[in-house]
Amino acid sequence: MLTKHKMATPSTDQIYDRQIRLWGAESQTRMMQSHVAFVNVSGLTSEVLKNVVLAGIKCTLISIGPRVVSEADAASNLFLRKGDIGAANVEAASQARVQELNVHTTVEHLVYGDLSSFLSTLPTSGYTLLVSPALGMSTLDSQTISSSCRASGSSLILCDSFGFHACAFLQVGGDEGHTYRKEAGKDKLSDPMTAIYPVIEGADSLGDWEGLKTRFGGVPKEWVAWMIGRMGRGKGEDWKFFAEETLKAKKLPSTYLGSQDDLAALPKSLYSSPCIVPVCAVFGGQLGQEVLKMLTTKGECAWNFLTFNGETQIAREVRVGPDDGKKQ
Amino acid sequence: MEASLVDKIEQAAILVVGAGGIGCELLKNLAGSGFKHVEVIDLDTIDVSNLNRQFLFRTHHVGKPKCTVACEAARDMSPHSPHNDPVGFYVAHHGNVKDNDRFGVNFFKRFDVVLNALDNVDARRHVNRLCLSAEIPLIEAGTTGYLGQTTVIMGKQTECYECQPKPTQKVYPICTIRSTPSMPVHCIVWGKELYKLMFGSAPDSMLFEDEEGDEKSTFMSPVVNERLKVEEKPSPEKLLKYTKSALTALFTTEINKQLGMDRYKGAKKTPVAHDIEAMAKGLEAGVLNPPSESEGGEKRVWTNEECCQEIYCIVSEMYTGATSPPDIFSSSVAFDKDNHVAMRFVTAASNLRASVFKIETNSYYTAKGIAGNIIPAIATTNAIVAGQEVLELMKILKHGKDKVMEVCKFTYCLRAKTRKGFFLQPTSLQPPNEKCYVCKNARVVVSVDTKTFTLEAFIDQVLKKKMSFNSPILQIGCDQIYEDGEPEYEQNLVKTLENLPCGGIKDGTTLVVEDFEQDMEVNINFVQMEFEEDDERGQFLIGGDRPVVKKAEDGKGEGGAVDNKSEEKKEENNDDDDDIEVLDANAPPPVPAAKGKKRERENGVDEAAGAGKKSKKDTGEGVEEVVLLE
Repeated sequence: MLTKHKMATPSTDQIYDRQIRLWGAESQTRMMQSHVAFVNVSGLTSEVLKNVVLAGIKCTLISIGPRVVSEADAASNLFLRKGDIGAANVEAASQARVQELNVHTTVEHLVYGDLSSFLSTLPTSGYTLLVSPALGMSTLDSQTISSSCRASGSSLILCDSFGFHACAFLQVGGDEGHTYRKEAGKDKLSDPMTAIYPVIEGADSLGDWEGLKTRFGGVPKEWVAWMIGRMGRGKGEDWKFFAEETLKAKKLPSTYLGSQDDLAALPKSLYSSPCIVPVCAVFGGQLGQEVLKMLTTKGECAWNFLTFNGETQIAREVRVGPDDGKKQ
Repeated sequence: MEASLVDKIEQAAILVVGAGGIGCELLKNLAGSGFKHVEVIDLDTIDVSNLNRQFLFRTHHVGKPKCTVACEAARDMSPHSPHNDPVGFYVAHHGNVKDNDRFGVNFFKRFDVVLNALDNVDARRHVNRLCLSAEIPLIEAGTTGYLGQTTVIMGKQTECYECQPKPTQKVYPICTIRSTPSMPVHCIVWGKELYKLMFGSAPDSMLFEDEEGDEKSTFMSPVVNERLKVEEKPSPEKLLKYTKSALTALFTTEINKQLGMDRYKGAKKTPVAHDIEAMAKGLEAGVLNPPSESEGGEKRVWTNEECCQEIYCIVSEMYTGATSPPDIFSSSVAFDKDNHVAMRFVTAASNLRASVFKIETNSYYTAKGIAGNIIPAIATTNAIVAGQEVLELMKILKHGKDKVMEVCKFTYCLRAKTRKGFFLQPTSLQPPNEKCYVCKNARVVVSVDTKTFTLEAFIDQVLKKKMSFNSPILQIGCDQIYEDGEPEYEQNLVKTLENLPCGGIKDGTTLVVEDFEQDMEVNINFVQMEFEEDDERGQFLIGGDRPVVKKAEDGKGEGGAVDNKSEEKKEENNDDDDDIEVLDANAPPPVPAAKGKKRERENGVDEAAGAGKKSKKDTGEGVEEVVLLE
């Protein structure tokens, strides 16, 4: 008679029961209609990827350029194992494990020869958000990604972890800005408001980093190290000299990032060491929270950099101008 | 990472307690960071609703022990190979951490650091005591929704888990549930009890009344005494007759009887009895449309007619064994939110009751949230707190456990940034609370009516349930009056406290309670105090260092002397007890408004030593603790 059989495959309502109880069915629907591109997955972005896939958001893994699995990749990327070292492509080697996390969402993989051929697809590909490391590309490339995303209306997170530190740049929404509602207490939302996030070039061309200090402290070292790391990529032997000159030019003391030895050790941590997994876990979780806010348009996203220091365990926002256009 | 830390990581023996949302994250972080000696204790098996965040589990793992599957995954992720060292390579222990034979103090002593990933206060307290006894650092974390926290406990240096009172779950006086419901939750608790009364072990139900009772409710006979015989395979006609007469008794006769006794004269809303005859017309005509099978049936509120249909279908299913456990009418038929039949029943029965009392009715989905006390848990918050736990662990390994107080932090995780732009802003750990009965061996004051409270009730409700003793031994002066499992003391269980041997327990008596499993010894000072039956604080109070002011009797008298302190204690102590129904073992998830939290945290930071301001709130599943609003 009226027997209720347990379904062989659990429904998405069952799978997402707990999170829907937290953020509501409408937010879940918005997330399931979103599409996030993960460009050249790193240790840190693999953590973000995990959080995004678990939430039920469609993802595409994008490989650009040579992507042979290195030892550092296998040690950092949540979806790679020792046995994957030497495999031809990081994203190809991890795709099945990413998909396994959540069979109710789509995980695709696409390969592009270079950045520009990928970026040329942006206007039509409909990605809601791009997530990419920045230390692996030139400053110019990261600026190009930033302006392309802005023009095509995709949001962007550029982020890296290095040693116990991590930093991210957030650009939410396109030229029209990001319209969202602030959370004003339990179950209460503000009237819609719009923020237009600046492209990363604005931060790159900023002349005075000392001026970023607030009454709550100077600009975080993680931010400074990451910015110099992006700009000084490929400087080789000249790296330390470049870093000191940059600090000086940006009106910070040359000891801002520590001693001479500390500075000399930075490139290794920035460009070649494996990630420290719990640092990626915390910051990947924090960025995951930001992605949820972005995609559901509920809650105010960080403006426009986020940093994390795994030694002090502080995560904080760094506001880098231009701030105009923020409020409408 | 410097080489010395890598060495320490490879040497360290780590115990993880819990393999749920936070536990999965922890194991991934430990494996990825190169930890080699890790063991895991967990009691649970994998449920479908875990899959959205407990990311080491897949659909085909549903039903398997969490710790086993999680350890397999961690071994797969680890860069190391299996070894045969004393502390194993991601070894799973499927069991209850409170099982002293398996996980006593000596078991704990094999480890350098313990990481908690638990979802309930009771187990947390137990692990806290074992770690204090074994003198090993305990890293503790919890989440509810977007909120979370991480802290570190090291005996003698920092606050222990029990140094600050844990506000307890909301409880409901029994008379509210039985006679005067005013909120949906009251009706849902009633529905859970009715489920037991109809299909489980009836005497275990709070609604059960025995034969001798003078004012027996009219529904006892139709619901319980006239239960059908399963062996006789009751016909649909018989089942319908039973259902109708039970429903009529519950929602018509009993309500009218109470109305007739002027029971609701002063009530804000006068209840109105249902016309079950009319509501069951469709059933009588052979129409069967249980709403749970209809399109979107779980998300919309069922009509009264549909609730009757649903209940009839469940009665049929239970009696014919279509979905029921084979042991209908046994105590194994208890409410479980993940049991679809039980949840359908509670939805239908609670809504019929709610509409009698003019209380808002709810969908299956909403009722499940209330009945199961479901605390939403999400992947991102778990990731943050578990990552912080492993960062704390690395600091302990680097600096040594003697430096916990100096190097470790207490961190809140919030959804929105603070005014200063901080998302994570760790604060200093606090030193032990001198008044803590767990880590500072302070005296505890218990106020109770020693003339009526039995030893058995005292042990179960106060010592075990409220104070989390596992295996208490009780002494008055030098004389032992009780030890768990010793037959010679069993006769004392039924005695009231004042009639116990060796002078009994009266106002001013000191009782010594020992628990060798937890390495605890506590002196309890008694204060004689009478409670009214429906006292919202319950039938006892556990105070701090001084007696709690007595409650006013007849609304006058000593009551005037109630001071602020007693208000505070009230919050701490209105826990469950015999006369009170607790909705679930886990506490409800009141998520405080963002603004208050923010202020709380900034205060905690700005006024570095503002220990008094920090208050932790227990909740259930993810664990969870959240910051309490002032």
